[in-house]
Amino acid sequence: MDNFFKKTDRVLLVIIGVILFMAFLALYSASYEPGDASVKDYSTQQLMWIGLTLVAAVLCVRFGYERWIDFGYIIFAINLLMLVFVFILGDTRYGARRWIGLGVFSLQPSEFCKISFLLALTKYVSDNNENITGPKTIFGAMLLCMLPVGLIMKQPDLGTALTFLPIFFTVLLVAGARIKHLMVILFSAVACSPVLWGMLKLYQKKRLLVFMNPNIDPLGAGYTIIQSRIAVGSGGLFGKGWLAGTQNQLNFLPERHTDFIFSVIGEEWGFTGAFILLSLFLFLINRLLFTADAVGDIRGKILLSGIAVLIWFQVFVNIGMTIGLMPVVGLPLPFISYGGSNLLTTMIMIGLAISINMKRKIF
Amino acid sequence: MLSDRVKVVKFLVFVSFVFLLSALFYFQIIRYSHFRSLSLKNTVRTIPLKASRGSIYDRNGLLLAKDDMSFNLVLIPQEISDLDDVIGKLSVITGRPGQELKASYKKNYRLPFVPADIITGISPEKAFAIDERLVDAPGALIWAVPKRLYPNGKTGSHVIGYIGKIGDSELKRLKDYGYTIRDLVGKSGVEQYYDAYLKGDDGGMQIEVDSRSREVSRIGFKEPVKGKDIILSIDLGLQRFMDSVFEDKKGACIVMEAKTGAILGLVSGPEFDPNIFISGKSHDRVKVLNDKGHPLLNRAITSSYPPGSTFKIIMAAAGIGTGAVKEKTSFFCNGVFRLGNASFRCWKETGHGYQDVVEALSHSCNVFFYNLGKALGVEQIYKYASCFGLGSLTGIDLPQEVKGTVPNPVWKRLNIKAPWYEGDTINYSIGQGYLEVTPIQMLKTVTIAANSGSCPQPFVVDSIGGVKIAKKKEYNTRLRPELFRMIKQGLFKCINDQTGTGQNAAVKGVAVSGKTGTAQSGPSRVSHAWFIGYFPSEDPAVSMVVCVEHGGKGGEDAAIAARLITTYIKENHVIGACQDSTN
Repeated sequence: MDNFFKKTDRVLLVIIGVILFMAFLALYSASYEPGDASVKDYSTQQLMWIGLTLVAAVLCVRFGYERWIDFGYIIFAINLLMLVFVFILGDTRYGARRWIGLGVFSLQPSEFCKISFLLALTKYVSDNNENITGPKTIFGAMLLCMLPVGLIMKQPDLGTALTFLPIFFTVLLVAGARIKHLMVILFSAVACSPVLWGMLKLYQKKRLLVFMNPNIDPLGAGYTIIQSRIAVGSGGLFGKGWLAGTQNQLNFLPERHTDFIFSVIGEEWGFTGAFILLSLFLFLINRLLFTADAVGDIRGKILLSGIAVLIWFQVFVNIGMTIGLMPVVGLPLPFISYGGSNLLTTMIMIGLAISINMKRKIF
Repeated sequence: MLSDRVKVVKFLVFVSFVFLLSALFYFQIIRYSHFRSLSLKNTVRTIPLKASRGSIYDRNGLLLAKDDMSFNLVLIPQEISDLDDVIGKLSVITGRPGQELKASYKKNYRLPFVPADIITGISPEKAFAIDERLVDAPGALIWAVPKRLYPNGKTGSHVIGYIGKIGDSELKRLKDYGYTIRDLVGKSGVEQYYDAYLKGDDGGMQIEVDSRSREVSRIGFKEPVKGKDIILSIDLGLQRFMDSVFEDKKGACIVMEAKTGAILGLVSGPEFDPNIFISGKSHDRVKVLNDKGHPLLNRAITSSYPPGSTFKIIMAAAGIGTGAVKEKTSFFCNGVFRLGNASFRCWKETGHGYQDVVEALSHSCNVFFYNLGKALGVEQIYKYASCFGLGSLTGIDLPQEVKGTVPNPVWKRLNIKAPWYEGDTINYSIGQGYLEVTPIQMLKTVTIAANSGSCPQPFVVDSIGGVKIAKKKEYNTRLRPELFRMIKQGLFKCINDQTGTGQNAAVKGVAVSGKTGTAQSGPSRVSHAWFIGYFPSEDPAVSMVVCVEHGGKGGEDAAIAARLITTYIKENHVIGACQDSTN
C-alpha cells in the first residue's frame, strides 16, 4: 500500500482535494436554511458520495487502465443496453427518462456512458491504429458515436449527448487521424444542425432560444439565467461572504445545488473565489494533458486526453451557462455539483488517470 | 507529431479558460455596481403576467366561455419592511380584520418575490378605490388577473367542461410544456381536450424598483399571448332547448349532423354549473363532487348501459348480412320463446303472430329476434356488434370516452369465469345481458343505418383560432348498402305505422325513422328508456340518441323527448337540410 501511494500522482490528489473541499462549502451554503429542518442538507449527503466514489477510484487504479480498455466494448455494450432499458422503464425526472431506480439510489446510465464510450473508442482507434488515416476507420468511429448520442437524445438529455462530440474529436485527433477528415465531419455536423433542430423537443428549443435572449422568458428558463447572472455579478471582487449570498439565501436561484452551483461560488466568494476555482480546474486539466504528453503507451495517451477534455468540456459549458454565455443544457460542474452518478464517473476517470500515470513511472 | 496534437488540445483549453475568466472579470468587476444594485433586497420585482385563456363560441358565434378580468390585492413579501404595519394599514383601507388578511398572506406565501394573494375577486370600482390608497403600504398592490366565466351556466356544461387548479400528476406530466404549480387547467370537456390550444402563453416581467416601489428600469419583459379561440359545432339554442326537455332527468341526449359528424347538441343529465369551480363557495363545490347523481359524469360518452331493443338494428343487419334473413323470412310470435326449460317472453304477451324483419323492427318483436339469435349464434352477433363499432371508441374529441362491453364466450370466461350458455345468446339478441354501450355508440349505430353503412367521426370542435379542424376519417362498416334497405323500412314504420312502438316520436311535416328500446337494469329497478333515430327518412340529415336512466319505456319519455327536439330543429331551421322535407 505504501508503494501504491508513492507511485500515485500526489499533485493531482491535492488539487482534487482542494476542489472537493470548496464543493463541500458551496453545497453547505446552497442548502443552508436556518430554522427550516425540512430542507435537505446536500453537503453531508455529498460527503457520503465522495467516500463511496473514492473507493471506486481506488478499485479502478488497482484494476489497471489497460484492462479497462480491453473490456471497453463489453462495458460499452452493457451500458448501451442499460440506456435501452431506461428507455423502456426508466424513472421520469425533470421530464426526462434518464434514471434507473435501484431502491434508495437512482442510476443515470447516460452519465456512465461518457466513460464507457471513451473506453470503447480508445480501444477501437488503437486497435485500428495503422489505418487511422483511412476513411473507413473514421466512419466506424462515427457509427460508434451515433449509438449513445441517438439514445441519449431520445431521453431527452441534450447536454449529455453533446459531451460525446468533444470526446470523439479529441480521441481521433490524438490518435492521429487526418485533420482534413475531422474538418469534413465538423462542417457536415454544422450543416446538419437545422435537421437536428427539428428533432428537438419543444422545451429544448425554448431553452436554446432563451439563451439567445433571456428576456423572452423572464419567468421560466430565462429567469434562471437572469438571476444567476445577477448572483455572479453582484459577487464583485471578494464576494458577499460564505452563507451571505442574498440571491442564494433568498431562494432566487433554482437548482442551485446541482447545475447552478457555480453561481453560489461566484456570489459568495466573488471573482477571487471564481479565479481560484478556475485555476484549480485549469491546473488539473493541464496536469492530465501533461501526463498524456509524456506517456509512451498510445492507448494511455488517447484515454487520458479524452478524460482531460471531458472534464474541461463540462467545466466550460457549466460555468458558461451560469453566466449566460452558453445555453442551459443541464450539464453538472464536475466534483462540485451535487449528485452521485456524475461524481462517480468523474472519480472513475481520475482513477484511470492515476493508473496511467503509474505505468508511466514504471517505464 | 502526436505530442504536438496534445499541445493543441492544451492550447485550446487554455484559451477557453482565459475567455471564461475575462467574462467573469467583466460581470464581477466592471459591471459590479449594476449587478450589486439589482441583487440588493427589494430591487427586482418579478411580475407574472397570466395569459388569457381562449374563448369558446357556439356555431353561430354565441359566447360559451371567456376570460374576464378579476382584481386581487397582493403583497410582495420581499418588499415588506414591517409585516404587521402593512397588514394594519391594509385592514384600515379594505375594512377587513387584520387577522384574516394575515392568515391569507401566510397561506398564499410561496417565495419572497412571488406576490401572495390577500383578497381575491375584488370588484373593479373597489379595486380602483383601494389602489389609490396603497401608496402608504409598500409591497402591496392591486393586480389584475384573468378569470374564467361561463355565461350560460349549466347549459352545455358537459361539452364545454370546466377548469381548476392543476393536480400533482397532471403537473408532473405537463411541467416541461410550461405548466406551473398555480396554473389552471381544463378538467373536463373541451376545456380539457383542447387545453393546449386554449391555454396561451404566460408572460411576465422583471422590473427594477426603488425603495418606494417605483419602477426604475425594466430588466426583462415577455408579453403574455392569449390562447386560441375555439368555435364548437354546438348550437346554443338547441342545446338550451334540449336542457329544458331533459330537466333534471338522469341520462344523455345527443343530436348530430348525420352527414358530417358535427354534434349539434349534447346533454348529460344532471348538469352542473362550471362557474362554481371558478368563483363559487367551497361548499358548493363539495356538494357537486359528492352529489349522488354524479353531475360531473358525462353520461353521453362515459356511462354504458344495456342497449335493449335498439340493438335489434344490429341483429337485423347480422341476419340479412349472413343470409339467415331474407325478405320473406318470418318467425311466429305467440308471446313466448322456449329454450329447454326456460321461457323468454315477448313484451306483448298475446304475441305478434307471423313477423318478417320489417315488422319485427317496427313492433320490436322479441320472439323474432330470439329465433334469429339462436340461428346466428353468439359469434356472429359479436362480429356484427363489433362491426357497428360497439366495444370501441367513437373517437369524439371529448375526454373520458369509454368502450363499453361487447361480450363473447372468451370474454365471459375471462371476466365472469363461467361458460357461455345458449340462454346468454337469447338475451344478447334483444340487447340484454352483459352487453353495455354508451349513448354515443348507439348514435353511431343509428347513423350507420341512416347512411347505409358508414358514419362520420363525431366531433364538437369546428375550428381553432380561425382554422378549421381537419376532416376526420369516416367510419365504414364495409357492409353492402342494399343490406340496410329493409332495416330502414322497419325504422320508418316503427315511427309512422299505426302499430309501431315509436309513434310518440312522429312529427308532422318531417319523416322520422327510429327505434325505441326499454333496457332492463336489474330485477327490481325501473328500466332505461332509449330512443335512437334520424330524419328526414329518405335523405337523413340529423341523427339523435336519447337515453333516460331508469326512464321506463323507450316508447314514452324518450320518444316524446325526441319528438320535441325534432320539432325544435325543424321550426328553428337549425340546419338547412330538413326545412322543406315533407312526408
